[in-house]
Order: sequence, then C-alpha cells, then structure tokens
Amino acid sequence: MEHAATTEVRPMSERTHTESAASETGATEPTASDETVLEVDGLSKYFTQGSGFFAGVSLDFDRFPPIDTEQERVKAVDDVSFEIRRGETLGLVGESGCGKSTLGRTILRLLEPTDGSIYFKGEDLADIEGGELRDKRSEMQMIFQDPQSSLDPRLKIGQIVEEPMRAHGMLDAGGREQRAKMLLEKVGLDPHHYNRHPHAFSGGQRQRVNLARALSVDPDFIVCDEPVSALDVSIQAQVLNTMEQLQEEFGLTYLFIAHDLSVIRHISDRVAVMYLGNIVELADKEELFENPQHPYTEALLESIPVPDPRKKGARGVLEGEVPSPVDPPSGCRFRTRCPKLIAPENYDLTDEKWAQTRSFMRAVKRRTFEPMPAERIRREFFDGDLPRGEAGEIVAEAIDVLPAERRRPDETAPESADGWTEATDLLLESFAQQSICARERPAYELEAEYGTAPHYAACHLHR
Amino acid sequence: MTDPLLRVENLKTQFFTDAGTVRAVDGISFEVREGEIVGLVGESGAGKSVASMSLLRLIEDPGEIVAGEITYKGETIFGLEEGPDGELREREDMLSNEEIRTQIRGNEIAVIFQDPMESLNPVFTIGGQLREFIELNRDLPKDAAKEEAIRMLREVGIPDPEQRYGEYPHQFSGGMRQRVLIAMALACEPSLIIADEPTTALDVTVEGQILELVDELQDKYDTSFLWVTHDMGVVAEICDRVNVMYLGEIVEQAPVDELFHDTKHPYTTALLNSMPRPDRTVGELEPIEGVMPEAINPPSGCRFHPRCPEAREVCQRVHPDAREVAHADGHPHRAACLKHDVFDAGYDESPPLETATQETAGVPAGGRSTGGPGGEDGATDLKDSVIEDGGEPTDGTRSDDRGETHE
Repeated sequence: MEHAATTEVRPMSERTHTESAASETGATEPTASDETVLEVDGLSKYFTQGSGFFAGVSLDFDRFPPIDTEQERVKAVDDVSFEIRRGETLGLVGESGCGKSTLGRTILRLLEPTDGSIYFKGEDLADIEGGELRDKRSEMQMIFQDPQSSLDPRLKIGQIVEEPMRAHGMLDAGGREQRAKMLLEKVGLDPHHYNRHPHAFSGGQRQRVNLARALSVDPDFIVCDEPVSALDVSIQAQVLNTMEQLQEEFGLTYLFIAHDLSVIRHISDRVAVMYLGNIVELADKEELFENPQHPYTEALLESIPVPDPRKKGARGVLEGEVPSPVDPPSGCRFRTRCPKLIAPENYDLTDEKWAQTRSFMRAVKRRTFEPMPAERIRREFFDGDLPRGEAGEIVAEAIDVLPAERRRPDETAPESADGWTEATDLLLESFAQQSICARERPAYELEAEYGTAPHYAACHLHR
Repeated sequence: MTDPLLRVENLKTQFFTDAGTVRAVDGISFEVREGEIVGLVGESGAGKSVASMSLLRLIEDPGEIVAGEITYKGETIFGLEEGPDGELREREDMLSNEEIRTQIRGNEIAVIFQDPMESLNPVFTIGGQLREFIELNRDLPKDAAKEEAIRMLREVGIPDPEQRYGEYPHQFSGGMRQRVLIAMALACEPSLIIADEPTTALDVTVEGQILELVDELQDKYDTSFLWVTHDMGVVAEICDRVNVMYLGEIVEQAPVDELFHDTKHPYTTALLNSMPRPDRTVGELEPIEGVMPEAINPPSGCRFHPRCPEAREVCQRVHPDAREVAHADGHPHRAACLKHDVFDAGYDESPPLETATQETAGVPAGGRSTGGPGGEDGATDLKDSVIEDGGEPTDGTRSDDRGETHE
C-alpha cells in the first residue's frame, strides 16, 4: 500500500490545516503557502461499461447459475493521492485517455468517486451530499477546454457571468451586475460587452468569459481542464498571462490539466504526470523537467518537438500503445512499454542479453517482423548468441514455435495455430510477468535535485 | 540549380461570399525541391490549408484560384493567360481536371489530412481501402495489390498487419489510423506529399513516433513533403525550409536554422516569443497583441502592422512583398518587412506607431492604463511589450481589428 505524493496520510479531521503542513513537511515550499487547500487520498473512479438494463449481465456456462453480473470496469482513475497548497498551481499532464480530466471532475464531485477521499479545506467532499455539496461548489470552480460549447449561445455575456452568483444567491441584481462588469474588466474584456452574445467573441475572449464566470462566486480553487489547448499560440500566451495575474490578485489555487508539456512547464509550480489512471511522478516543476525519474516522464519529455532546430536530438520513441484501462497491467502500469523494464531476478541475464530478450519479446507480442527461419531470428535479435542458462532455453523454445515462413495470403490458418500466440504467452509468462515491475506496484520518494519539495516517482528502478 | 519539383508563383485563392471576397491566399510564391521537407506555418486563419489544397486544385465553390501559376515537374497545374479580348483564361497547357485526377493526385502528389477518421471510410476494412487504392492507381491484380497493401502496413509500423488488414477504421487508434494514411499516401510512391497538420490531433509520444516514421520513410523513398502546421516545434524538428504565413501572405521564407536563429520578420519573432518552451522555463510570455484580422478586410499597408511592436507610420501605407534580405545555405532568406534596407521605403525616418494597446480583448481605448488585469506584473508587462498609449494619431486604421472579431 502506498500513498502517492503525500508525505503523510491521516484523517484530516485530526489536523487543523494551518499547523499540519508546517509541522510535518518542515515547511519547505517557499512560494506557495503551507496551507493545504486540497488533499486527495486514494481516489478512484471506475466506469462500468455499456448501459441499459442487461448491460452488466453476461452468460457464463461454466458455473451455476450461468449468469454473471460482474461488470467490466474501466479504471479511469485508480488510487491517486496528492495535495495542493494554497496559491499554487499543480499541473496535471498526461496523454489522452490517461484519466486526467476524469480526475479533475471527480475532485469537484461532478463525477461520483468510486473510492477514496477528497479533503477540501479539511472536509471530505466524498462524504457530503445535496445542499451541503452545493454550497461547497461556490468555493470550487471549473474551466473547460472548449470555449465554444461551454457558453450558452442564447445568454448574454453578463447573464453568463452572473449565473453562478444567482445560483448561490450572492448579492442582489444590481450588485451582481456591478461585480460582473468588474470581473469582465479584470479578465481583460470590455465591460461594455456585458450585453453581447458569445458568438461575437473570438476563442480567446470566450475563454476569458469563462474565467470571469468561474471567478464570479469568489472561489478558492479552480480546476482548469485544458483551458488553452483550443487556442492559437499567440492567443494562448495572452490567456495564460491573464490567468497568472488573476491567480496573484485573487489568491487562487489551480489544478491545471493539460496535455501540452510546454504550457504545463510555464504555468505550474509542481507537476504530476499521469499514465493509465495512476500518477507516475510528481515533483517541483524544475525538478520534473530537468531531472525526471520515471521512464514514462522521460519518454514524454523526449517526444516534445522543441522549437529550436539546433536541439534536434534523439527523438524518444515509445513503443506500442497505451493498454486498455479495463484490464491494466499489474504492478507498474507502464511496464508493457517501458524501455527500462527490469530483468526478472530468477535468471542470470547480462544487461545486453536482457535488452535483446526484451525487444524480442515485444516484437513477438506485436508481431512486428515477418516470419523467418530460426537462424535469422537468432541473428537479428540476439547477434547469433542466445542468453545463457534457463533464459536461453525459454527463448529457444519460443523461436521454435514461431512460424518460419509466411502463410500464403489465401491460406487461412486459425489464429492460434500459427505459434505466435504460444510464443507470446511463453515469453510474457517467463520474463515480463516475473519482473518486479509486474509483481509490485511501485511508489518511491526521492531526494530532489532542484528545490526542496519531495520527488515522488513510481518506478522500481529506485528501489 | 535544377528545377524545383513544385513551383508556386503569386498564387491567389479567394472565396466569394455574401459578406464579400475573402482573400484567403493572397499572392504567395514558394518552391519545393526534391527530397525536401518544406514547412508552411501559421495560426488558424492564415490561409495555409487553402494554399495547400489549391496545389491540387481541390478548392470548391465559392472558392476559386484567381491568379498565379503552379508548376509541377514541368507540367502546369494551374496557369492563366490573357485572352484576345483582355479576359483572363486558363492556359492551354494547363492540365484538365481528368488529367489532374488520373495523373497527379495520389500518383504524383498525395495528401495526408489532420483527421484520419474523416479520410477513411468507416464501413470498409482498412485493408480493403488500401488495396483498392493500390489496385486502381498502380494497375495491380487483386492478389498482388493485397500483398502490397500488407507490405505497406508493415512498412509504416502497424503490428500484425495480416490480422489488422481485415479490421475497420474504428478498431484502430488515432496514431494507427494516421499510419494507415501514411501507408496510403506512400503506396503509389508519389514524389510529393502534402501533409496538412498530420500530427496535430495526436498525443505527443504518438506524434514522436509519426515524425520518426516520416524521417525514416523520407530517407528511404526520397519523397518531398509540404508540411502544413501551426506548431513551431514540429517545424524545427523536421523541416528543411520554412514559409511563415500571416493573413494570406508569406511573410518570411528561410532555411529552418535561419528562421529560428536569424529571424527577419517581426511576426515570426513574436510567434516564437509567445510560445511557452518545453526545454526551459520562461518567466513571462510575450503574447502578440490583438487577434489576426479577417481576410475579408485586411489592414492597409503591411498586414501585420496593427499588432507589430516595430510598426512605423510607413507600414500603414506601404504593402511589402517578400524580398530577399539575406542568403543562407544556398537559399534566399526572404522577409516582407519594411525595416529591411532592401525595401528602401523610408522606414528609419518614419515615426513609430503607437501600437493599439491591448489586445485581444477589446479593453476600451481609455480604460487600459489602469492596469487591466493583474497587479504590478501586469502593468510592467504592458509597458514592456507595448509602446505606451499617447496621442494615437493613427487610430482609424486600427479600430477595425482591435477588440472582438465578428464571426
């Protein structure tokens, strides 16, 4: 059991937030205050697949009664823990489908959490319901990605900005109008646009309206879900600058969700990297970008095209694709693609031979090569020299069951008969699943090279 | 030097709408040589997609190519001449629609679009679509075409191609679909591939994979690319030469290293400065003031002058074309900015323009000095990047594009 990123986990009820962080982390963060605004602990969100009356029912004739009501569940967010301090921006970055938006929405209770706790100023949001939750919502707001569809085209800008205030019964009509106009000016719009409709505005301006609306109820915490990714780069810079200014002026705390690492690097104080429902690394911005400790973070950073032709380096190319969140890999979720998958301890493999075995295993699994004679496989993958001992025997066995020649296109042999599946199973069982990466879920806290905040990395290389 | 593969001269493409004529592409010239990757970059609305589609004459009503010349391997894809009664008419040597379809598209010039889901038919298998394409364009019998299709799928890195040959587009991930499109584009071994934002919809690691693939394939087949994108990172990564577009025009044209390290046009500079960087932490971004005006009613003079930090009075009057301002690497470095001596437009003597302060956002002309959004940081930012407001002698020209865009 591990708790990602949090230095300590205990019921928030025990603590008053002002004293807590200071006493325990030794008051490390100079920029943000030490008060924890939000603490997420073991948060999970699973979705059941399919909908409809019989969606969750499947037939299984091996048992009695032959009906299975177990549902396949998509583990969009799985046991995530972290905290955000007042006034800071936590960047949450990951590729599409990693669960970052789901996490953002679950934190605001726009989605029902499956498990875990969300402490907002010491109160567990996962426990409260109805009116109480509604009241809390005025302190937490959200900004969405698409400035087009997040504004009601029939309403005027003024009404849009006033709506949350109306919903929470803030001020009287005159006061709301005055505040809306003040906010429009704060976000860099003309207060005279109060009576215009959203269609008269460009994408960047609409995102400013969204900002004004979110600010209207004077929240402490805003979840920003890809707020600038639909904008052109020059407009993006304007909106990012405004967001920073507003943060300073109103003392806001942001959870900033984005897929763009450049934007994340610009706006964040600390950064969390997400992969397949887990946070794999969390550290201070400088530390994360300059001293990444998780192979997935490294791969992400290497993949970004740098806007400088003189920095053309090795383009980090990650093998394969993200596995399905319905049945994620055991242990470390990144292990099926990890270029640094750790060799299983029960074989005596040199680094070189393990690297060869690993790439052979993955090539077989993905069938990336044409069927070829055993001799050629040995030569191409192993320099003609199989690993020694038991490992070598397993590899030899796998090579034996692989087809040596390509089927003719018209020949339709059943899929299982061609040896690929057998070889894949053998290799995965013998190697991938024996690795510590498959057997234990990693969670390590490291010394940071940059800054003083703890550096969390979910990778067994740091064991 | 040998003739370029593709030469575009003074191309103009316009859309005739009820609201007026949209000059989406307004007199651009560029070349693509053999084995080169040439970038066409700009923000949305710059006209880069229209420009690339014009090359294959894929412009549909109400759009029309109204002027210019497009030459590909000595063949005229588009060309006009003056008829006997002074009317412009299509030149005789211009390829007919039929010829464009059978000889050029696919065989000679292929296209890869941004959204692979839209380019693939959802009700046919991936393999079937690829095979049919090869069958038709290369006159191969069905079996051979299938074999070739599977070979191409493997070539672009699709695992287990025999199996996936029979699957439908929705069973492929975005990156895999983009690979299929690359396979399709390469299947007829074209000399030029127009790639229209091919990696924009993809995740960064997948984008890395695709860029790597393009690099490999380009080495192998020596295909030229015209790479249309808004992403300066991708440009730096793969392009040999770059054309920067702003509002229908090419404002700068240079080899990639010069573009980034010896930038000659203020728009390119501003674009580079407004980007957050993945490789270093930038304290304060310098956004470009305002938004790009509509191509239906472009500003007078230099089209960038209302947003340009270096704009002077002369920039409102004189419309610069892209001229050679330096020479590097055997290629001209062109820029359309009057500050360069070659224009001799009196830029140095011309009084600086008080740039319309701010902004996207239509802060009212009088209301901005109070600091607008933010605290002290905001105020200094405004002073740094914008010349303080003062007399504003030239307000008239700028009122158009200050503030909101009407869509």
